[in-house]
Amino acid sequence: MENISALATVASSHTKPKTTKAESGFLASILRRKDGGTGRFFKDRTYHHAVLRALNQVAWHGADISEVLQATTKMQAGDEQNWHAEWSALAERNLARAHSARNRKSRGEALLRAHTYYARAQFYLPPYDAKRPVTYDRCRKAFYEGLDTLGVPYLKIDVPYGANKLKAVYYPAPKPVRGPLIVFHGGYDTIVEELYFFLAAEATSRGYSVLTFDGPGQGAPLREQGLRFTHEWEKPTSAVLDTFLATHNRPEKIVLIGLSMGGYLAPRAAAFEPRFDGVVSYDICYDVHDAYARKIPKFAAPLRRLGLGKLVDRLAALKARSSPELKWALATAPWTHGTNGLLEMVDHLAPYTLADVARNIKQDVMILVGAEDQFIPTGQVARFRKSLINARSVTTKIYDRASGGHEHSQLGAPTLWHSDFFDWLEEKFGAPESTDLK
Amino acid sequence: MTNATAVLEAGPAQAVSPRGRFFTNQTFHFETLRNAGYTLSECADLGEMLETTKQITEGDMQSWYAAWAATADRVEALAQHTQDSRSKGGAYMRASTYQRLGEFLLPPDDPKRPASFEKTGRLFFQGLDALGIHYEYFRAPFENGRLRSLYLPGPTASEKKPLIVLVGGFDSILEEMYPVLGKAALDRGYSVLIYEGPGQGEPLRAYGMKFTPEWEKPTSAVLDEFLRTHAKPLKIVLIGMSMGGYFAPRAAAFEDRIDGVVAYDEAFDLQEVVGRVVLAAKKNPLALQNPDVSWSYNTALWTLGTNGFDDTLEAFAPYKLAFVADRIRQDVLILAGVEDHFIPFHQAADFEKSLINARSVTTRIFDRPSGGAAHCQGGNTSLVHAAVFDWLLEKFPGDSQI
Repeated sequence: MENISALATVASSHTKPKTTKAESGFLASILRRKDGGTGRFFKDRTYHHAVLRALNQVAWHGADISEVLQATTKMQAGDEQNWHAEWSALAERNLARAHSARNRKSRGEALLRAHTYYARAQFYLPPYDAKRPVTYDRCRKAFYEGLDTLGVPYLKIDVPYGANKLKAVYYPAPKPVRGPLIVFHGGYDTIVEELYFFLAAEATSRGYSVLTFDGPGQGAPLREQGLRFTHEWEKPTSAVLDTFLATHNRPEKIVLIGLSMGGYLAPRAAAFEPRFDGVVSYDICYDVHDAYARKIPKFAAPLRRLGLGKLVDRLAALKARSSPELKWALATAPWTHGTNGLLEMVDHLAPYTLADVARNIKQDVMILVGAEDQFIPTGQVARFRKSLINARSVTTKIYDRASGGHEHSQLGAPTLWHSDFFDWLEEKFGAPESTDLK
Repeated sequence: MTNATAVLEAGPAQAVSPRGRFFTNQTFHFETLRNAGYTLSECADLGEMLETTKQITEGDMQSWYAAWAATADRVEALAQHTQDSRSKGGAYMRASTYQRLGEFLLPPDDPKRPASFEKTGRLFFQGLDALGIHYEYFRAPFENGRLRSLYLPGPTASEKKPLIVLVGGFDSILEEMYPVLGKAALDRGYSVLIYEGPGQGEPLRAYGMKFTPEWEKPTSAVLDEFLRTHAKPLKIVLIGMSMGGYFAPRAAAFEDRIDGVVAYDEAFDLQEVVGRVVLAAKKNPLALQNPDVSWSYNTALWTLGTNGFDDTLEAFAPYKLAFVADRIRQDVLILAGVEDHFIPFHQAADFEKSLINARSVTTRIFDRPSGGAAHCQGGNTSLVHAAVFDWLLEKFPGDSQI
């Protein structure tokens, strides 16, 4: 993509030879059937969602649109190897751009895009695929090199957790401010680095400091130490707070926010951790167990009573061949939860509900909801609200389809929930003393 | 056009694979993609755009307008009830983008246009105000009217860097140049001056001013007015987007105050560009049912003041850089996408060869996997930013890097 002489080959590989054919193609395109916008990148919802997750980061320079769209044209839902190859190729392309760029901002941004594309690449790989660790390392390396290049201040913190270590990353606000410290963690399939794009970058530019971390079941603790999820999320969360506060002044207020399955984990931690003043479910995830249990077909229970549980698992495995979502869930559960098969996974998730602990939540609570969340039934909103009998306040924001924020975690429309979240912070905890705006 | 055909023919079967497109029709797809790219500058957001595309009947300009205008209203309401200033400003900017996008495909004489244009501008300035961005908004006298201009002073030390002057093309208005390049330049410490010439934005709508091939005239008028109240910058670099790929080099050929010029993307011979559309329409009236043809043709009638196929084709005869390219002595940056659906790709090489007296010529080509193959790298402006700002550092080294 450099000079004219190089491009004859480039052009010829992508366009038809220039004959009168171009014109017949042109006329043909006039007569081609009309179709409305589909608003989707894949028919399969999981794959569509996984692409949106990359595009969600465009505003913070973690992706750009056309290059992602081009890459998707070569992918097929359900083919993880091809998915990995295409995203990796796009990541390498951006690494090359970073190495050739002179302007520091352009260089840093290319590294951040490479990070995102590597993160996407590893996403659907089988848990023990040999390409996982390599891709994950490249993904992290590009991220921190990107931050360094851009001059973004951050601090990596190792958090002792039993015999293991959790990984936290702290992004201090540009100036000392009075606003609350935001503690932010992910969910089922997240890595700490991507939390920068989801919220940390935007929050620091508004004058808030942000502390992010990977707990058990996530990012490095899962990949490097084999630490699996725990429903007792207050344990890792308190460990992170203890370590952070050992070397930093105690902020006046601390707000906890959890992404995706973190919409369960964060309120669970808040129920046991009084140092939090506010908690946000981004998005609602009141009852993880229920969300999975409802996917088990009705005939499973009688089969199980007959001792035919294995048959149910085998049927689920069969169905997974045509359902990328189920395939991915069944493939990752042994890794993240240590379970095997659909039934064992669902049984294992039984304690992952807020039903028993919500009454202990005394903080200000914010519940975000995508009206067409593919994972969480919206009926959980009312259940969650009703169960919060001791919360100081409960604020619910529901995003409908027309708003564009109806997907799980408002993917593709981060400005919507940012707007409500920062307004909520100002209302409940006062504004930061100053931001870069005025 | 060839682009859409190539995409459809090269891609795998649609039944099993996504198309990487918002619409089948190239105009509907491209205009959506172009503006989706402004997510990068926080002047668009994808979810709300994807939802809007679902409301649109492909090929129906009124349904296009209705859907985008409704989204603009929704996002404006969001801005109004938002306290957080960054969110508020961002929402105004997005609303402005959607309102502009809606108006874009309307027939030139559609009665909704004037109010829509005014609203786009109002939302844009409400956005700048909420975001706390400093600006000076002025109008430069020119012939029987005035040229809308916007100066965005950069941060401290920006005076040590070149002033970046931005101008659009066939269909651009001032407001669009901010998400395209204005914000990226400010973020990198440059000062920015955006203007409209005859045939564009307000000069076209308010004063009926039609395009002129002698683009040095409006450019000099704006520079004169700006320099009347501002110190002369150490260097001035002019960047023209889309048909501005003709305008900017044309102006540079006659305007010594310009030190560097960027054709983003190159537009060496506009008669050839327009000829493809006009001849298709002339040969087969059915072609005017395709937005790819009807929109370009009708916009040409409006912005050039022509009537009929031959008249329009004739009017574009002077719009060729071949006549003046040997007068261009500046540093020149040429950008081109290999699948530009407006500009035939060979024009990049034609332009490069014609620049026999330029101080330097740099050409950057974007292929399909780069995401920048479309006209003006629509949907992937990060490529343009990287290319332009590296070129600026190389040719006009400033004090600091960011």
